[in-house]
Amino acid sequence: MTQNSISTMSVARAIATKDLRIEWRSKVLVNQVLPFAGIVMVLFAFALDNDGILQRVAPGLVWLAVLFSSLIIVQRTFAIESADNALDAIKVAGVSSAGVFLGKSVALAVQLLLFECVLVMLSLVLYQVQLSWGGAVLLVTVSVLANVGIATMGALYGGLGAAAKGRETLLPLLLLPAVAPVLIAATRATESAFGVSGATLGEGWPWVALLAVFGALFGFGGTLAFGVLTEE
Amino acid sequence: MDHVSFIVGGYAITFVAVGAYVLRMFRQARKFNSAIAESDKPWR
Amino acid sequence: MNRFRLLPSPLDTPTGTRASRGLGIVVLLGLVMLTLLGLFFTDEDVVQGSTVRLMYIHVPTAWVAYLAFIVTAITSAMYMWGKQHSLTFDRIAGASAEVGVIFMGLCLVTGSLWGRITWGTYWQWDPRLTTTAFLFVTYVGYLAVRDLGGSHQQRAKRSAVVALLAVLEIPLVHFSVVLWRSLHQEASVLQPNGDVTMDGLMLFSLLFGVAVFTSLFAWMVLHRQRVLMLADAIDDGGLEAALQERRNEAN
Repeated sequence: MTQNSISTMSVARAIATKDLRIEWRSKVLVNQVLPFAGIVMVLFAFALDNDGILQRVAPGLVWLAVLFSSLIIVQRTFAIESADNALDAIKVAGVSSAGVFLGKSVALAVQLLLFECVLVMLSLVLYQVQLSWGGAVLLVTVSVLANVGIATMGALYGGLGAAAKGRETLLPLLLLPAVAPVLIAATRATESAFGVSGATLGEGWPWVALLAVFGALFGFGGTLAFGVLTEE
Repeated sequence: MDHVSFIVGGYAITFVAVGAYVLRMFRQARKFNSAIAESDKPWR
Repeated sequence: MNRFRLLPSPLDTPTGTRASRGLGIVVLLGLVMLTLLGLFFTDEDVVQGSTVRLMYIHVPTAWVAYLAFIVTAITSAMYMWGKQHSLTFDRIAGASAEVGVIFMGLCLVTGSLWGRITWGTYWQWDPRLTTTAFLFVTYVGYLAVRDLGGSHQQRAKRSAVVALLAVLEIPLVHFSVVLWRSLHQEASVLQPNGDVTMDGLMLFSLLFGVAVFTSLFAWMVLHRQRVLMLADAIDDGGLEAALQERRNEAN
């Protein structure tokens, strides 16, 4: 694998801004996937049909909606590449695969952050949860760190699905087990942020530390693995 | 022995599953046998 | 040509050698012995009663499931970092994963049956069961990645990376689940192995079961990776081999 003079960081920056600019112009995620996430939140209420339970499980429901949306967001982020065989062109140009991976991950993480903001606000309304300022700070930290884990694993397995002649059906099977630890930690921390089931803010921060560890491990592992998995 | 059905069932499921897999594997082996000449097979 | 034909078809296979047939017979006898021990010769447990008999199958399947995972991980690493990138390691990894998935499934089923008798429920969210379920799903994913197509080396590289990622992911999942369940402060009695004081024969049967199943695992992987080699050769041989194969089927 040749590495030309363009550094990994500039590649990452270029790809991240390209992806975000495409989304800003096309607004596909905002117009189609965000409503999907909203519907999921509403369907949870239909399925669970009990206000008391809804409030208690709201943290889990928010993160489940985030995870399900992430499947679509990841597929979208690689679909825009295969439309013009852009990924092949990038590979032929000898650009660092680590840069592609980091750029894709950053774009995914930013888009996921948007989703989490909207879904949390929705849960304030739909599930009647409360959020203090301290809880909000905790929640933002949780979201940023959880997104590192989800976005890096999403970029990794999404890249594999895209490289392997578009086998997108493989993505959920590979991604969801991988991000289960993130789901567990993020949900527990969010319970503290919302103050459900008697969880205090202090109990949430250890889970944040755990999320940071997951993010670091997944980021490191993903950077190493991405090049090999997306080879043709 | 109480709960006989559960216990014997557990043993039976195990042996049937393994046996079915092994039979399928042998059938595949016979089907693919022609692919390599006898002398080239590293286990012969 | 090896003329050692002890068993008639369909128990005959071109992937067999004298040694593997010997191993196979030993395994078969061992399984028979284990069944006799488990169902008849051993006593019931003081606490668990007759349900302990399932342990002689359940514990070995769990052991083999984790062993298979380790074998797949190690052979994947040996493929990736070996100088020759030998496809044999890749095929052993694949064979081990296939056999591992079967034993993981059996582990979950037998554990579920045991739980039904002991606790009245088919499932408990204790860390070990949950991690085994995750291992199962992860391996199904690994096998799906092996089927993505492309050249043998591509398959080997991709699945090796996925297997090594699993080595990273499974401990993380287990750790998270342990933390998660510790919040609920479950009684430690609810372990799949329970509180069993084993007398000599029971302990022997358990260890014997582990030994027999390990041998069974080795025998299955041995044959399976030979079949995979034949299958790879069919791919390489292309049309001519396919025609030969069709002729074989017709006979």
